[in-house]
Amino acid sequence: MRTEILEQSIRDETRRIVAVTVFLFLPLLVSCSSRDRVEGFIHFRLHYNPSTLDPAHIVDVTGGIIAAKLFNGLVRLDEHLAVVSDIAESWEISPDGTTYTFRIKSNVKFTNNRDVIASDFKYSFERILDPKGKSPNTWVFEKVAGAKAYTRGDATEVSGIVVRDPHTLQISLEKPFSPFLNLLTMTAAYVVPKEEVERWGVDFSTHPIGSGPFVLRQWSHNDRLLLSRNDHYFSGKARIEGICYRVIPEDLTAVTEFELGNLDVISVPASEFRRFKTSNKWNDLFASREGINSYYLGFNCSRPPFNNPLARKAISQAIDRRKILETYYEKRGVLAHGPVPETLRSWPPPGPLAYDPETANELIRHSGLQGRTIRFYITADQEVADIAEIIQSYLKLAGLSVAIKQLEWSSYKAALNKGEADMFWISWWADYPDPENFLFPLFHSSNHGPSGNRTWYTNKTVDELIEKGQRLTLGSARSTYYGDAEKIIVNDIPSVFFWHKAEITLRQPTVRNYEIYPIYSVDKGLEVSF
Amino acid sequence: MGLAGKLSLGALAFIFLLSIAAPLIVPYDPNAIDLDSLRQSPSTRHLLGTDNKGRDIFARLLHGGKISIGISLLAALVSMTIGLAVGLVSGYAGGKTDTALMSLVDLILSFPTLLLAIGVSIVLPAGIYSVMIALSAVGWASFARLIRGHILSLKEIAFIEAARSLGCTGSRIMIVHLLPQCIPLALVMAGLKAGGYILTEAGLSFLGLGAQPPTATWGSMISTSRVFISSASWMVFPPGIMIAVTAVCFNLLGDALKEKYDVRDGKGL
Amino acid sequence: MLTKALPGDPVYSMVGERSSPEIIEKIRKEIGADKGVVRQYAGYVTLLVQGELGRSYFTGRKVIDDICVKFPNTMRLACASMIIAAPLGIFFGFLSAKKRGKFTDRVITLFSVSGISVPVFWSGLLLMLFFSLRMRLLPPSGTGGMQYLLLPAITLSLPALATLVRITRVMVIDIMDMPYIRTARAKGITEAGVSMVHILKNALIPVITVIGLEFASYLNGAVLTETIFGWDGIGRYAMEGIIKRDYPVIMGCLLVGTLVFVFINLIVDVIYHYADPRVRVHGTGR
Repeated sequence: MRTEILEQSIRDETRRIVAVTVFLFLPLLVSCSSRDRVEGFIHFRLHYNPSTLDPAHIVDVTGGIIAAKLFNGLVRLDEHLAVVSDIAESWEISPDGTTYTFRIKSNVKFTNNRDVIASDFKYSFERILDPKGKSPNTWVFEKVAGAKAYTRGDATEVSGIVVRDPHTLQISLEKPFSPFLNLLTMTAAYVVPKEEVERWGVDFSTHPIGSGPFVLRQWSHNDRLLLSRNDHYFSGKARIEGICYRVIPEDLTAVTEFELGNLDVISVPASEFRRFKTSNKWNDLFASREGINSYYLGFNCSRPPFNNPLARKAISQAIDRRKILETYYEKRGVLAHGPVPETLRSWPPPGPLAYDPETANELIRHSGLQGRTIRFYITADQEVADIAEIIQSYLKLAGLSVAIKQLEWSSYKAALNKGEADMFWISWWADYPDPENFLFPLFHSSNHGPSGNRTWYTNKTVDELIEKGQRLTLGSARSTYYGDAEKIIVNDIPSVFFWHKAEITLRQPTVRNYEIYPIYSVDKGLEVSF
Repeated sequence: MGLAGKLSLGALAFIFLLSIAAPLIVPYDPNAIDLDSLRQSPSTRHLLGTDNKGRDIFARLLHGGKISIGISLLAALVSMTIGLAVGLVSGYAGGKTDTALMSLVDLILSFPTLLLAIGVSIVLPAGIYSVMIALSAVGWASFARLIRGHILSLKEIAFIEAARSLGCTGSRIMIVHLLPQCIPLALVMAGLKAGGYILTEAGLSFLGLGAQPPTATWGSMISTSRVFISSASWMVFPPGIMIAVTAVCFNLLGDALKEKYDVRDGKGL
Repeated sequence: MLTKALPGDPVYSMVGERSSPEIIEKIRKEIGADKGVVRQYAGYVTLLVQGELGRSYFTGRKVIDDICVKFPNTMRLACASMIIAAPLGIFFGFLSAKKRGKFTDRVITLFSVSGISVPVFWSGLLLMLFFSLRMRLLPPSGTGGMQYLLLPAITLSLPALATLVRITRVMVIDIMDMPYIRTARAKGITEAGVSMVHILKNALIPVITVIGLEFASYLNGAVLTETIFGWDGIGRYAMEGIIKRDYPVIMGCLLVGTLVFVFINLIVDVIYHYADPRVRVHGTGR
C-alpha cells in the first residue's frame, strides 16, 4: 500500500513535468518560424559591442563603421578613395602648403535641427586636442599650428584653427604635410554639436548626435544597435529605412542567422568558406576586395637576437609564405612584396625574398640563433594562433625553438611597447589610402613603440626619404621617394611581410547595390537597398 | 569493490597507459603541421582525421590525455595533502584555530570554483603548472572540511585520551593516531575530486588558460575547433568523448570506493 | 584588494595606440592607479556608499548599469535551468530508488553519472549542433526570448539534474530503509499514508539544500554556458573582467556574487526551520 502512495506521487510528478515541458515548448513552436528582423532595415553583423560611439574616442574599426553613418566631416573619401567634399563645399590650399581654407555648405543640419557652422568644427577639433578630454586621437591634429601648446595647457585655444565667418574655416599647419586632407576624412575629424556633448557629458558615447544619414534609435548593449534613416540628410536620404547591427561574436551563429535570413551581409569565416563557395545557391553572391592592409611578422630589432640582419634574413627564408597563403589561408589574400599594399603602390614592387630552407639553415648557423628560444608574441585570436603555430613548425624544421605567448590585446600592446617580444604577429590597416600611412607610422624612427614602429627600426636614409615624400603634395617625385624607402626597408627586413588580406562578403539575393569599401569610413550606407 | 568500480579502475589505467605509450602507437608527432593534409576526415592514414593545420587528431588526443589526466591526478594529490593537513590541525586544535581555518574554508567554498580558478591562473605565468596550482588552491577546501568533520567525531573516542595521558604530544597524536584513520576518506574524496578536476581543467583550457600552443589538451582541442563543429565534426567529438569517459570512470570509481568504505558525508555526493 | 595584485596595466587598454605619454599619465591619475592601495580602497567604499560601483575601464559604462542588465539575464537562465532540473531530478531519483537494483535503476544511474561527467561546454556544443545547425529549430546563440533561452537552459540543467537524481535516490533509499518505515509497513496502510507525506517532506530537505547551492553556483558560474551560447549574463561578464583586469567590473561581480550566496543560504535556512527542526534525517548535519 505504501508503494501505491509512492506510485500516486510519481504519477503526480509526471503530470507536473509534462505540463511544465509543454508550457516551455509551446512558445517555442510559435516563435521558431518567426524571423528576427525589423522591416525595411538592412541587417549587418558586428563581431563585438562597440565600446563608444563618440568620434573623439573611437579607435577601432567597428566604432568607425557605425560612426560613418552617424556623422560627417569636412571631407570624405569616395569609392575610388579620392578625397571629395562632405560638409565642406570647396577648399583652397595655399602655395606653400601650410594653409587650408574651407568653405562650408549652408544646408547641413545636425539631427537636433540646428545648422552646422564653421565654429562647430573648431569646437570638435579642439575637443580632440583638449587635455581634459583624454582623446587617444590627438595625433590626427598634431600637425596643426598651436596644437602642441593647447595640448600642454599653455594656450586656451588652438591658434591654427581660425573661424573667418560662419561658413569659412581656415586651418594652418606648422609645416606642409601632404596627407593632411586624408587625415580630415578620419573618424576623429567628424563634427559634433557642442550643446549635446555638454548635455550628455561622458554618456555622449552612448547617445551620439551628429549630422549623418542615420540616427541612433536604440542600443541594447551586446545585442544590437538600431539606426533609423535621417530623412533630412543634406545629401539626399538613404535608400533603406534603417540599419540594424547585430552583435554576434560567434562565427557559427552569424552563419546560421545568415542562412535563416536574419542577416543580410556577412563576411565569410574561414571554416565555412569552402562550403559556400562550392554551393550553387551562394556562389554568385560573393563580393571580394583586396584589403588595404599589411599582415606581417615583426622583429624586435633593438636587441639580440634580431638586431642581427642575418638572423632576420634566416627567418624570412625559412617560412614558405606562399604555401601558407594557398593552403591554410585558401588564397584569401595577396602575397606581399613589401609593406605597401598593391593598390597603393605606384612604383615597381621590390623583389621578394624567396622561401629557401637551405640558405636559411646556413644563415642560422652563422647568426647566433641556435640554442635560443625565440619569444613569439601574438594576440588572442584563433586565426592568429593557427598561423603562429604554422610559423613555429617551419622554424622547428629549421632547428629553432619558438615559444608562443598569446595575450589579450591591451596586454599585448603593453608587452610590445616594453620590448618583451623577440618577434610578433600584427596587422596594420589603412587609416587613409596613402602609401605614407604604411611607411611613416611603421618605419620612421620618431614612431618607436606605441605610435606604430614596433620593430624599433631605425634608418636615417629611410627617415629622410619618407619626410621628403611627406612634404610634396603630388607628383611622381613622391612615388620615387616612397619607392626607394620601401626598397631599403624590404632589404633590411625589420619584418617579414606576409600578405594583404582580402575582404570577402556574402549577401542575400534580395540585397542590391552592396559594395565593399576597403576603408570603413567610405561606406555611409546611402546606396545599399533591397 | 563492485563491478562498476573495478571496470572503471581498469578503464582509467588503460587510458593512462595508452596516453603514455602514445609515441609507440601513433607514428605522427602531435604537433607536426602538414599543410597538405588540412581538415581530412578519418581515414586509414589518419584514424581520427586531421585538424585544420594538418595535425593528426588521434596523436593529439593521446598526448593531450597524458597532460589532462596527469594534471588532474597531481592536483588531486596536492589538494588532498593540503586538505588533510589543514583538516587535521583544525579538527584537533579546535577553538580559535578551528574557527579561523574553517572561515577560510567557507570563504573558498562559497566562490564558484571556475571563476576562482580563472583568477588564480591569471596571476601565475601561463602554462600547465599554473592550472595545476589553481586547481589545488581551490580544491583543498572541501578536503579540509571533510577531514575536520571526521576528526571531530574521532576526538570523542577514548583512545585519544589514552594517548594523551601517556604523554604523547599533539603532533604525534595527529600524525600517528589520527592520520591513518583519515586516509580512506581522503582517498575516496580524491577519486571524486579528480573527476571534477578533469572537467575544471578542460574548462580552463577551453577558455585558453593552461597549456600554451601548440601543446594539445582535450579542453583546448575542443575550444580551437569548435568553429568546425558543423563542417568538420571529427575535430570536436573525440576530445569531448574522452573527457566524459574519463570523468565517468573517476566518478564510478569514487562511488565504488564510497560503498566499500561506507562513507557518508551528508550530501550524498 | 587581492584583485589589485593582478598584473597587467589597464591604462593601455583604455587609450589607443598612439596616445602621448601625457594623456597616459592623466588617465592614470584619474583612475587613481598612482595612489596607494589604501586610498584606492577608501575611494571604492565611498562609491559603494553612494550606491555606485564605478565604471568599467574599457567601456566607460557604469558597472551598475551593466550588472542590472546582465544579472537578470543570468537569473532567467538559472530559473529556466532549475525548472527543468528540479522536477525531473526528483522524479528520476524517486524512480531509481523505488526500482533499486533493477535495470531501470542501473540505466538511470549511468545517465546521472554521465550527467555530472560530461563537460558542460561540450554538451552545449552538441545540443547546438543538432538543434540549431542541423535541424535549424533554434538560433545557435544570442540573448533574448524563449528561443534563445532554451538551449543554454537545457545545457546548464544537465549537471544539476544529474546531481539531484543521485542525491534524491540516496535520501529516499535511506528513508525506505528506516526501521519505523518497515514497522509501518507491517502495521498497515493509513498510518503509513499519513507519515509518508511527512517523511517525504523531510527527505527533501537536503535536496532543497542542494537545489539552493546549485542555484547559487549557477548565478555565479554559468561562465562556460554563457560563453558558448553568447548569453549576456553575469558569469561571462565576470570572466571577461578578470581576463581583461577590469577591476571595477571584478569588484562589482564579487560583491553581487557574495550577496547572492548569502541570500540563498538565508532562504535555505528558513526552509529548514519551516520544515521541521526536530526531525534529523541521517546524514543531513550541515
